[in-house]
Amino acid sequence: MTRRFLTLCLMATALPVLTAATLEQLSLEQMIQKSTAIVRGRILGSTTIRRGMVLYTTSRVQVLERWKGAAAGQVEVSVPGGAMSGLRQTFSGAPRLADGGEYVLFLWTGKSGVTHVIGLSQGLFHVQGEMLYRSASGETMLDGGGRAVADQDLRMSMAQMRAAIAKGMEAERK
Amino acid sequence: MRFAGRMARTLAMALALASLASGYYHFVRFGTRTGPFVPIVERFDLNTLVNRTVTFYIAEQGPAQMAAGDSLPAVVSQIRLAARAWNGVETSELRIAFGGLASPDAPQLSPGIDVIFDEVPPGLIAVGGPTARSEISSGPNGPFIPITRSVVMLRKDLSQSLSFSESFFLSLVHEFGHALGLQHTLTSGVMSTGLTRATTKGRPLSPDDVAGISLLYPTANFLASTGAITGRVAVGAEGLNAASVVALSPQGAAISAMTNPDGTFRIEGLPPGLYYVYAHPLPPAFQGEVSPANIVLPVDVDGRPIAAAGPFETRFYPGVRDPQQASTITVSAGAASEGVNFSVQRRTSLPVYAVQTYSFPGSTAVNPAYLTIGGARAFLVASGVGLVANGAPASSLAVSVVGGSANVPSGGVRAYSPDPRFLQVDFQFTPFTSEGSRHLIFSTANDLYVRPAGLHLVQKAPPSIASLTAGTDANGARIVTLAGSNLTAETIVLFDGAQAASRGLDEGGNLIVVPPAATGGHRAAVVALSPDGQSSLFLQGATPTFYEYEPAETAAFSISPPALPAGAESLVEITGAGTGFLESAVAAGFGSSDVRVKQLWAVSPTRVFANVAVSATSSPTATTVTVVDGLRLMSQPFGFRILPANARQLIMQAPVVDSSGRAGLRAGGTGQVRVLNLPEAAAVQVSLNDRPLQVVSVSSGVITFAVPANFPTGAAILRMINGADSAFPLAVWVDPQPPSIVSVTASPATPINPGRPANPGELLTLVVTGLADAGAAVNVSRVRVNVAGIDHTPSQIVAAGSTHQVQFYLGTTIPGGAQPMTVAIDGRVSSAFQLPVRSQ
Repeated sequence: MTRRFLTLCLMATALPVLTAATLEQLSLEQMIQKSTAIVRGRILGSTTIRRGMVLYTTSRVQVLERWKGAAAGQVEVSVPGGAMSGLRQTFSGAPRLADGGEYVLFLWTGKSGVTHVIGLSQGLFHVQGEMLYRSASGETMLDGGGRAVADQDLRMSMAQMRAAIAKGMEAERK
Repeated sequence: MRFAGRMARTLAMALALASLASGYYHFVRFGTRTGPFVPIVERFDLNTLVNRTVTFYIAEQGPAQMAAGDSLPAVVSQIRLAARAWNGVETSELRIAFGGLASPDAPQLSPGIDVIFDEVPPGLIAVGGPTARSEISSGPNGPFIPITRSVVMLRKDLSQSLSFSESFFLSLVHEFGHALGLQHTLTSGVMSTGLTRATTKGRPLSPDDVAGISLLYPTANFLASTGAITGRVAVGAEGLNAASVVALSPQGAAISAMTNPDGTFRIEGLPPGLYYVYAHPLPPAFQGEVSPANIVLPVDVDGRPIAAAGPFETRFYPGVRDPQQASTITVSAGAASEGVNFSVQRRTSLPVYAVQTYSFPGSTAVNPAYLTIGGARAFLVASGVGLVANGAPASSLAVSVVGGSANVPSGGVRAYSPDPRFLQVDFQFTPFTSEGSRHLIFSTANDLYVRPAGLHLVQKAPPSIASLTAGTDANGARIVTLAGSNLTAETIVLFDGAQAASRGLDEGGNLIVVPPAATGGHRAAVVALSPDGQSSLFLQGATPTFYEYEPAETAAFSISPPALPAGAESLVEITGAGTGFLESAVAAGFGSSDVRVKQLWAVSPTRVFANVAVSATSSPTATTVTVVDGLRLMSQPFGFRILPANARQLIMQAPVVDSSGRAGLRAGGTGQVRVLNLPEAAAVQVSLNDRPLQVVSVSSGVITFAVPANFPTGAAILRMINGADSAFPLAVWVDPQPPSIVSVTASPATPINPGRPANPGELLTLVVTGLADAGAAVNVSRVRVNVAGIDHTPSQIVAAGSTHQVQFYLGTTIPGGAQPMTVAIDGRVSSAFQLPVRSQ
């Protein structure tokens, strides 16, 4: 009995693991459920704006495919951090969306009308062809010798993602 | 493009000026792609901060939703407590102060930190970071990038965050760390991500965190009193960028640095001692992390991030897998141990990483793992990548403890049977097992993973609170009696985020505390923290004991003056009604970095003196005034107004100093105050509490005056007039006269003089006047005897009539000849007494 109790308590502590102090890890099912829109899109351009004390990099996304949310040809996505007027604001874990880059985005629009990537960067998947990279920065990166390298993490196919989203949407409808 | 070009020029200039800089995980830029690589870090410019203090402001609208039973005063108290963690680092010059609640349109043009509650998407709890200029500045410690303002952004909806919880508090400390210029590390500090953090509310900072902040804002002797280890991590001739290198003390400290793009590293801020050193790769990014451990990678001259090295094998110096075969490196104060080089092999993946450990002091899993030496539950449970496969420990997995203070017995590594997705590790203790953090090593057939501070050994179980009983003491003051277990006189008791004053234990072993002031009816979570870092929440989890304050009259405050012109400095008097101001628990802020509190004293339960400075560049506006009295949070939106500047206004500048330059005055001494706009031939009159003072001199805008010998101790108001013009008053604290050494004797009653000098190592007795009131007992911890620059702690202090006898053993290294000797109590230092010392 005691052992069982300990197990349950351990799970209660361990399951909502924070990948960083700032983040609550979301499963794909949770992201599907909590997002207000899920799209595949291409970044048309970005600009930095100030809202109060926070700089946001706002990117215009041309929607190529939409799985959830109201239909629209473009959406604007805000990510905390950016550079303007000789200042740079940096937040650990905030993604950067590269101009021309293609992504699958799990989006969330709050009462203010501002649209964010869900979970800071958890809802961001870089698209290359039919493959999705789980959490790529999308930024040109250099290795220690100054050579350009791709930021590669785990990958999944677009077909797998479509199937997962369809399954999640179905579960949500039930 | 123009930005990049300007960056390139300024970086090149900075590089030429740069000294060897630390490789700690800061926000880093490099001025070159080809080396040599000198990290240029983002940090606040101490020279632009009043009193070297960065002020934080909390958005006055607060969170939109809070957890059941939570309140804005409770949340604010936890934010202030989190800031205090960084404020208390003695080896860091930077101080952090509360600037009050701030309205969204308050002027915030000076460096500071804004704590805001904003709409954030699901999955995000809090985020913090610096805003830095693009230009590089030069400072005494080399070039740096000035932080102009930082943000700590919390969810507007805090309904799922209990403000008293360990996790909420540690997230706040973590985000403040980002705001001050620290990045994630993998060394189990508060700046580690939640995956591997091993600090607690009782001990929020690890040695790694302390080194990180101290390297950004070092005190004068920090680098001289600590040492460094330098070297390189490479595969063949190719240096590895952003590899983590950790100095590991078997006694518990773990301090790390990240390699530069050419693989070189420099771990700084190491207390002298012996260290193992190991190099390991950053782990792969998890889902939701944009980079390994969400570390913002260093950028090159064009602002492009420089990628971290891929996986490689973890190795202890000198290139071994078995820590038993590792060499220790000796670190000496003020010196660098060089040539600690690693030649490693690349791997395709890491077999084990991101290990978290849990223990079960009660029925709740506690992270980080705390084990009581000799306790019944001598095991921990670990989660992490690569620990368990198919319901059993991963093939060839072994676990050991660095330093051998505890052993993992044969068969002591197994799947946790109630849930075999986790690993159970059993421990055996020896009679020599001692308290402290211990580092765990998870070894596989061809690699290893080190988990710094994976285990905390303690002598006692966590403190627990069984009940709270409200009462009053003999003077009618409210007290609360805590019954429970493992409560000691050293236990810190928090009511929400405010510390209760301890009255010690009663005869029944119950802990008596004075609860902080709070609004009537306020419900505070009461948490006990033991000196070893454990908390009563380890046993109570999300259900702490609450204390409900009795209904009371509503407290309020008023300020005078309620307005000052731009550029002015003045005493602002805060008068409370129904308040209980205490020096240790009161704070005041004006909600804008244009209005700063330079000094503050609680002079009575209903009266606070604050010396306030208004920025000369301020525009007329109104700001929010906030006064905190324990847990009582009072604010007045638009309560203070900034008026247009008066270019001819006489302005006394705080602090008023004594003849040694120390803030404050001494009875019988002289004081100085700097006055702006003071004519050269001024005929000034100065008074202290309306008592005219003798003006000694007026020169270059500085007035020197004499303080009467019999002036009473305590807060006083300094006023100054020059003809028809007057300055705003300032508050100043007047100390009694400093102590004075009357005579020195050796035992028994042998006067010390040039004919009979003191012997090094000898017990000496000083007769001292002015140490304390006649007959008053004086604790030896308050007094220092300094001889030839070396501090001595007295062995005994005895009241003798109107004097005190201070006994101490003269240091054995004191050189011969006449040596200056002083006695100091609470910062009051006597004049030097020439002590004859026998040559050895």
